[in-house]
Amino acid sequence: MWIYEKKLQYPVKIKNPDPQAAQIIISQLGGPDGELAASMRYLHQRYSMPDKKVVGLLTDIGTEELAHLEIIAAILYQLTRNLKEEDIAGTPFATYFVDHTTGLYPVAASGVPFDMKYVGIKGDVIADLNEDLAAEQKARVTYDNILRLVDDPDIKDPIKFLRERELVHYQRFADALRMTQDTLNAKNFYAYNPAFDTARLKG
Amino acid sequence: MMNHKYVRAPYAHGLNYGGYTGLQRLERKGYDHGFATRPDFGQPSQNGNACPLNRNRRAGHSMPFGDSARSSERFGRGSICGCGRSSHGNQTVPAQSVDIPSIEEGCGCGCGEQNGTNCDKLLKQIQTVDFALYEVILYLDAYPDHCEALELYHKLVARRKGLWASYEEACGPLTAMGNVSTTSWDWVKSPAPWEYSQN
Repeated sequence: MWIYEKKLQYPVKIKNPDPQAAQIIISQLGGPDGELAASMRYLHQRYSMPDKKVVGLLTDIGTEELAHLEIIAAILYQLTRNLKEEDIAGTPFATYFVDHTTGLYPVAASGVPFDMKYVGIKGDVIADLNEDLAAEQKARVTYDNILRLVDDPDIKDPIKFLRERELVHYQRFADALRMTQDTLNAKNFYAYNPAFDTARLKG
Repeated sequence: MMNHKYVRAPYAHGLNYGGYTGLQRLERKGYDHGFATRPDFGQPSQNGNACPLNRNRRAGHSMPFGDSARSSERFGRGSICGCGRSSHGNQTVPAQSVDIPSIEEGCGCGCGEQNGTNCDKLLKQIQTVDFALYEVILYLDAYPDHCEALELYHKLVARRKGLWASYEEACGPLTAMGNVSTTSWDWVKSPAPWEYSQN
């Protein structure tokens, strides 16, 4: 089960609200490579993993992604405080505002709401770990793009932290994939699916 | 054009997680990105202990939160404390004889104080140790028998316990199970972590 710790994993202190930056950064909340997709992916993949080490890794990284979701939410919350109508009317943020005001609704920057179709869970160890590697790189690219579009150092600071975490997670999953392959048949990694066939044989 | 270094850059807001994570120090011996060969931990130790992997005894563990000198290189902001005074020791944190370097204590000028405790500073120290701990946890998930990492884990847990106790005593609960007051449910009264505050 989950315990909530009433603190952010990394501090967010944004002096100047900026709804246009929020319009971009919201993709890391509800977009295809955002933290909600990441946490749902890892926390659901872990159930069909046969190796306890991989289960542990997916649990802990999935939990950390929930913490990152909270950091993104904190960034968006601080970017949309004390707004006046003239800050919103005629800007791209107006289309989000009309439906959600300054509430936080997981969507992509394009306005497409979060979708579980962004998440791949195949029930096969190799497929799932490769999905995770790709997901971390895609998240890293999204953070790169945010850093290109945003200038305020108060915003860039937590974004850079989150970007570095994606790289570290990528290395963790690569490690897990290598360890998994070490336990499989070196002549044919795909000879059987350890998540399904061994369980069935034991049955 | 992006010109910021990621892995090695010190961070703003006084949380220097070090030039790179303590994790990378542990793995530096043989780890490369992605599909690496198994890290080479060398020969088993000669002192007869049961640890299956080599205990590489290096003088002093390096910690993700760096040393004071590096902590002050921070996007030109000077010291942690907004009042700009130089560091001195903080009496709130209980003394511990562990060989992890202490986190820069800040100036104790009283910004963000509550009942004589600098809550913002303490929270930053907690965020630092919790981050280092999480890094070791992710490493141990893949290497559950690495004794040196486990030792580091326990030192960080001990440090975390002291900081958390100090914080929950003076500043408010960090989990719903940590409400110290018997007269007030501070869990709902303390500010939300996403609220904006100056320090």
